[in-house]
Amino acid sequence: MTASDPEQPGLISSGADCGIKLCLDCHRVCQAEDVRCPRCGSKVRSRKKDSLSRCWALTLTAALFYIPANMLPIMIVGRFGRSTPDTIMSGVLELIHHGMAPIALLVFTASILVPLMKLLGMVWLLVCVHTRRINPGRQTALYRLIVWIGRWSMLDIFIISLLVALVQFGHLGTVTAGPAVLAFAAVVVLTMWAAMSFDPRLLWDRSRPFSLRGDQQ
Amino acid sequence: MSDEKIAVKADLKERRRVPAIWLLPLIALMIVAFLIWRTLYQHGLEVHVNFDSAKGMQVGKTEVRYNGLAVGKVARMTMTKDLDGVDVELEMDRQMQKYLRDNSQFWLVQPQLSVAGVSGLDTLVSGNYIAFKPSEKGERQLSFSALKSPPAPGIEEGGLSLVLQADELSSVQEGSPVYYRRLKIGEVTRYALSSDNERVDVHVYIKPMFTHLVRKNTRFWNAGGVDISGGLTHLKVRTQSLISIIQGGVALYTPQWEEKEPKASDGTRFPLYNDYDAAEAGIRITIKFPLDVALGQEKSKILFHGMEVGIIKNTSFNEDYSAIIAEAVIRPEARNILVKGARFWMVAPQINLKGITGLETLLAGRYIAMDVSQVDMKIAEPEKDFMGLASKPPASPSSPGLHLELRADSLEGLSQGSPVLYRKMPVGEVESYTLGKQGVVIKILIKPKYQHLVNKSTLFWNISGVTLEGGLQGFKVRAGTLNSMISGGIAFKTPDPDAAKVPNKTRFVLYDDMTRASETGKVIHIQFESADGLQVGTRLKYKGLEMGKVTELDLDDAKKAIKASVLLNEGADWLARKGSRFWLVKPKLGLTNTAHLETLLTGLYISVSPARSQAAARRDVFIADPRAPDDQPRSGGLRIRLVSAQLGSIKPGNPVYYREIPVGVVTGFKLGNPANKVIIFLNIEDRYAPLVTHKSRFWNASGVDFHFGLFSGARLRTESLEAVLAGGVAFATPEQGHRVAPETSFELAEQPQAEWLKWAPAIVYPE
Repeated sequence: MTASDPEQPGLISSGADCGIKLCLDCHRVCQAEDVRCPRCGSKVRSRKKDSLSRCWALTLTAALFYIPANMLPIMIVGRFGRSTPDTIMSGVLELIHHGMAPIALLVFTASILVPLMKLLGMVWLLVCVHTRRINPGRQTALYRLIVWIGRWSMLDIFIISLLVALVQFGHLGTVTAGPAVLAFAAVVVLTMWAAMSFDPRLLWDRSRPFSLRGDQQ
Repeated sequence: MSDEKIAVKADLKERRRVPAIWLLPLIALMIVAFLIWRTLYQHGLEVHVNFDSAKGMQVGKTEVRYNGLAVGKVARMTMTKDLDGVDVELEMDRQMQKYLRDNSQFWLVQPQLSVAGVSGLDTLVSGNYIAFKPSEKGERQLSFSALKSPPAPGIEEGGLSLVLQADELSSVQEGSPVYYRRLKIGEVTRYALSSDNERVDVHVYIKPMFTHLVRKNTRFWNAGGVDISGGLTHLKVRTQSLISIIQGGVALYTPQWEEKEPKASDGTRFPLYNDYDAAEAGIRITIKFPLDVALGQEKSKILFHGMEVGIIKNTSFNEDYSAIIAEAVIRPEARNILVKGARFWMVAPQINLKGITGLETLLAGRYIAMDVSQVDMKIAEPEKDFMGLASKPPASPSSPGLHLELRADSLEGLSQGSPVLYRKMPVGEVESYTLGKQGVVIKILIKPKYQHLVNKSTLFWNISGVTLEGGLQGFKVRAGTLNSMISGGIAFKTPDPDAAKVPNKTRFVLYDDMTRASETGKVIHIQFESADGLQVGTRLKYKGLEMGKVTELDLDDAKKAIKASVLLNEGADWLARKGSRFWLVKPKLGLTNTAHLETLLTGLYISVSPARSQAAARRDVFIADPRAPDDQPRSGGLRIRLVSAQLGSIKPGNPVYYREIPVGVVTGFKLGNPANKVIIFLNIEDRYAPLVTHKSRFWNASGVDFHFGLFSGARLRTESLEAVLAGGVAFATPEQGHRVAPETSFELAEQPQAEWLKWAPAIVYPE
């Protein structure tokens, strides 16, 4: 595991070892004993506070919300007085049914697969941190992917909110947001928060076999 | 290491504090748990509905709607095991749970396009949906059978659902309008065969604002299509609206005369009549007719004194085929005459040599006449089953009007229903006739209005057919109305309007004709030697004027003479006095005397010489003279007598000449008594009466007076050629003198003396 580590073990590989820490707000390097950033005044910690715990909680919450987000109708399309509630999956199936497989694939990926992958990715990262089965390079890459993709997960919500705002033709056709929208939005937000609360430096901390305080602040 | 251990300890202490962030998954868990719970337990009810077909239904899409609001949707569809239908699993809103009961109804709403309108149009774009009608009554239920068609709408909306029972569906369809005064007030919701397959139940729905129009006695009839009715004289075409022609419809109305009935309630059953006319009829009765009544197939009308009160709906035989049962429907307004004792009979056209009856039925069809004249309406009991009669029954004695009995020798063309005319106006009719001991008894009924026209002095006579009277002298055709010529008839007159009134059943004589009836004068009896030339109808004449007629010829009691009963005309009673003399006038045809030639053509007649004195006693029986009395005074002449030894060739009718001009006539002669002379009666014309004085001399002018002398030569003298042939009397008067009294006697000379012939007195006589 560590054999592939390009950095040499035993060398100074974290700021804590050098008695310094980074202000995450203004990125000033502060002394280890500094409680607040001398420059911007924000609290400075060696590692994010309760990173793993928060991440777990948020991820778990997101996972819980993922269930109603997929089970409840996300969008209710009313045509001629007749409303058809669609869950995300039924929407996908309908798209396939209507011969729009690429779009279905897109929606499936964006709305089901990506949140799911995010959740699984987070869980994977957390589990890895706990079990110290660390491959910091790949896991950091995964973390970057999760953070990057997080902002795109709101696509569905944007589309639905746009449709709800635009498609209000009374009897001819209306689009209403279903209860799953909230859950879905919660999933997206919570996974983003989870990703944000995760401190990828822990990966590196844990990758050092001699570090005893890596998972501490 | 100890530091480390302390640090670890501290670490552990710190870890015991659960970060606040863990509230988040807790809350999320609660939310999700709630959602899952709601999904699992608060999710829609599973309701199974059995449909005939799943046409247009889609799983997950087809909604269940109540009043347009989605309350559920199709969750699953499976065929039933016997492939008879589709078991549709519905997911109903949980809040509908308490409305899912026995009486809840489900049906499929499909677009319907018809002439009457478009319904379910929304389904054209949104697809079919399942309609749900909740119910708050009955057991809770989760398994239903769908209706095949929408249920009768709107009980909960306040409308009225009615069931109309029709014999056949005709043109009524679902959605056919229901009209009241051609205003659409509802529609036919559905129809079905009745449970006994005998009728069609048509369910109609009346809109809430019109429910008050439907009462228990409201009539419904099929207003579809075009109803053409009536006879040739009054054709009626009835339609409701154009739509109803094509699509059919139901119309209703409530008869005015029974508006008091209560309002109809939901589900009331009404009969649906075929047409307007049928709808009017209401009360069903049966009439049992004898088999010989040809009721026919057509719907005979029932007329009550000419007013239509009902119609025969159906005819059938009774069980043993001994009678015809006619089912009739009587209009409600005539319900009061449906009483025990009401009579029905068939009126059919009858054409025979005597006449045509029921002529109107040729055009209008046979009909059933009805009558309650035998019933006392005050105590009449209602009745629904009647016995029909083959022909018109006689009126009952209690029916209004004057019932009279006429006795006649024969019917003479009269028949039931023949009119009784007064001044050629019908005032009654022949009710019936029966054979009596002395001919025929005809019962007639005079309408109450004309009852006063009949009294003791009334005379009836038959005006049936045509009476032809007269001979070569002239014809007289007498007929009543054309109707009476054909169908017979009776006329009457009442000479004395003040005579006593007559009660019912009074008997009168029906005379053969008006003349007979008019012969109301005195009847006298004249005895003749023989009836030679006499016959019934031989006239009695006085001075050529008819005074009476022989009505009867018979042998007298002793069977020695002929007794002729002569009916004197009105005003001729004065002839029946003692002293009147009667004789038979026969034609005379001889060489010298032809008289009464007209009797050859007109028949003999009886002449009368009335009694001289109008004060003479009345008498009824006379003995006829064998020939015209000789001393019968000629009208206004001077009667004188001649006395002669021989009659010579003088005959009655010979002229009496004065200066060879006939001024009188020999009226007769007789042997004098003692018989040593002959008395000859002369009658001198009135204006020539002054020519006769006491000094007048009469001579026989008959024959030829031929003198031949040697010195005087031959001299021929005659009065005239007629006198030569027929004989005659001539006279001369010497000077003007006093008129002689009648019956003065003169001597008849054989020859005139020469000086008589020279007498030429200037006697003035009236021109």
